[in-house]
Amino acid sequence: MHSSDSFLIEVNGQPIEARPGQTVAAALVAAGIRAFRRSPTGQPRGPFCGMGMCFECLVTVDGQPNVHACLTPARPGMKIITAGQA
Amino acid sequence: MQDYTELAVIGAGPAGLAAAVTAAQAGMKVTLLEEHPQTGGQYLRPVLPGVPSPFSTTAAREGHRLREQMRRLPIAFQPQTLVWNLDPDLTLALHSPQGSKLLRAQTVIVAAGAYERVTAFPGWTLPGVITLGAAQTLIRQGVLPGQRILLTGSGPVLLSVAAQSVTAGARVVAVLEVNPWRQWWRCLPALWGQGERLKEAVHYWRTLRRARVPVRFGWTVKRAVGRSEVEMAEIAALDPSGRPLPYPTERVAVDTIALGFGLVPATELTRLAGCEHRYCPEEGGWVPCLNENLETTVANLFAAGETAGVGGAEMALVEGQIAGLMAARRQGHLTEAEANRRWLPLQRRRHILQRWAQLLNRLLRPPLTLADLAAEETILCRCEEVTAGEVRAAVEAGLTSLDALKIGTRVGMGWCQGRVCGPLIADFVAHLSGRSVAEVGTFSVRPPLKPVPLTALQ
Repeated sequence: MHSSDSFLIEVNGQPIEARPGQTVAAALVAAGIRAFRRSPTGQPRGPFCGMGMCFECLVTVDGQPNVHACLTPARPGMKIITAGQA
Repeated sequence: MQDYTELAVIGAGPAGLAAAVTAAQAGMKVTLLEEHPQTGGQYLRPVLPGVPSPFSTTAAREGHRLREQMRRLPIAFQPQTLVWNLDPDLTLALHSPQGSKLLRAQTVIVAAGAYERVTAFPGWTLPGVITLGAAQTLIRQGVLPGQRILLTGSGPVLLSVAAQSVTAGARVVAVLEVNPWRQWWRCLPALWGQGERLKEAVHYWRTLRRARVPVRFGWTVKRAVGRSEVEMAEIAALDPSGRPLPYPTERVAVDTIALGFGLVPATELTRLAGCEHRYCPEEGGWVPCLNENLETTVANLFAAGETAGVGGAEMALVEGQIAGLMAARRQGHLTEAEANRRWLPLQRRRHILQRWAQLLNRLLRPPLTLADLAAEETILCRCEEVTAGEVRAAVEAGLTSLDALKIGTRVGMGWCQGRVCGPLIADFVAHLSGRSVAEVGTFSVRPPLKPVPLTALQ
């Protein structure tokens, strides 16, 4: 769903589009990214509960590790690193 | 640094909003604490422009009205604030992007909401397997969870999210309700006097019919298959005792599986504060013991909304008002007579809603036999990656309470502190050992309730 007020965030060095009111998790899923992190044994994991309870959507935001993508509003120019896209 | 407040309301969903507004209108100094960036909780989560509006209920309209009211009242709203400890003397430990602090409260209302009950089947940890709540949240943000969605679970939320997915333009491959038709029919008498619920249900049903979405009762997902994401689901019928039949298994190509089996009250805070709890399946599981004023067994600590027992948004609004009134009375902002006059109709309404909710929770609770879906190598605790086989071995070795299993197998020791796997493993152990879910118990809770930076603990 494109809209005129959308902006760009950077995920693993690639620009993706986000809309005001979207969380980082929603912007990533909209861009087709669903593996956000790796489990201790290396399995891909992605958002599960969508409300801050399961910790499966942890990503690195502007250098800060282990941030809940589902609780963090997307902001223009944000730099996201996922561990799921190895 | 220590702040002070007359009333701390934890959670800004329907119950918390109603509690904060009611208490502030009575003249209380209220601090409203919310982990998310905005008020509304999951139920009133804003819908982005251009996204089809969800079915408009009286509770949703009332909730949005409260949100407006809140802005005009002297309520200190603290978003993105985690309450990671609650002492019996009502000192709260807070953590937010601004830092950490203690908050001393004279009265506290816990309105922390609920979590979704989930079930573990092979492949359920694959990306693309999400909860119904997560699917709904994505849709409200204008994002489709996937192109081919399969929904599975039990209860009204299943149909609601399925219909919302269709309206949002997703292809819903099928809806699998684990309970048989007759369980739903048995809910019908309780709909008497619940005209709006009935209308809502009919709306969802019609939406699914029009889109020709197959809705199967007594069916479940048996396995999610995929390499790095879910690509296919194996589905199967359940036998009359609720066990998944080994045959015939159908395979459907999907890129998303959304699951949810009703709600479990979020009671970490009331447990941490030392309130007594009881196991009540009709109310979603473990709930704090409450009196008619919604006060817990810890003085001046109240609970409202789903935390006090799963009952839906309207009940959360009613309970929030009750708790807000009673907190205000406790601090002398309302006379006994005034508080009681306003309490009576609320309490009557609460009892009606509670009866309906209890019937629904009882009839549509997933059967314990769903535990059979987990294969030996299926992960039960997602954080610590403890498998069903490991838990089974520990149960056979005599570890039949959640706390014993935690020490013995590390279940519930990871990031989420057992929020996802606690109710799931309780059912699993009960089914395996023949003990009741109540006997299996819960994971004990300890601060910090969620990981906080070491600096916050100083």
